[in-house]
Amino acid sequence: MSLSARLAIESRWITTDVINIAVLPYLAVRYGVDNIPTTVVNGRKACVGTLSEDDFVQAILATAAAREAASRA
Amino acid sequence: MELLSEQQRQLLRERLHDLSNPVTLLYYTPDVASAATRAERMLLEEVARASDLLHLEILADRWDAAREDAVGIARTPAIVLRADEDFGIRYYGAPDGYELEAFVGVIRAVSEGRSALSEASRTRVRQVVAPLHIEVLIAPT
Repeated sequence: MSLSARLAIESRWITTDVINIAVLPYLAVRYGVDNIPTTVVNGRKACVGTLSEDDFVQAILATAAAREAASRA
Repeated sequence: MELLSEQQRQLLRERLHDLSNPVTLLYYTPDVASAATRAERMLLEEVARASDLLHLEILADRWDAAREDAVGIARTPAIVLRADEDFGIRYYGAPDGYELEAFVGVIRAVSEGRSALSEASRTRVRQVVAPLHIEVLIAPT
């Protein structure tokens, strides 16, 4: 099952879109997608490929933190 | 051509017949239907037939910015999965092919209202106290 959906179920702060790029190809261009699945957090690419639960959660939270830090800078 | 294989129909029957709580699939169609969106609608109808606790609502009106904003969708076609609670899970594009199994898993989890994450992951996720939006880009299979 989709790990991003699990995170959304777990936290009211987390939402997720599962996007088939055949329907919205411009998003693949916007995010520079060259492999599938590609996961984006708050507009920033977080990880590519299928990760373990631990690695996925790590990638999501680290990317969100980096995005937050960048927006403050 | 058959929309689903017998194996996929069996997956729907086995995984969805015993849902614990009702789940609603809201399908927001685009203003102009295409072969892809007609197939997506047929797929959702097949999925919804697998359980009496699955309800499919087709919203085929024209784009209504206020309504769509309230639901939190930015484009169509869009699928919203929700139980009594809306967990903020949206699909854009048909969850067909290999994605169907994951979609069924999400329906079950929404029905149960349980993430089934490990305790370690749950502890880390609880530290999130600001909006965090995850987009997962997949490809048709």
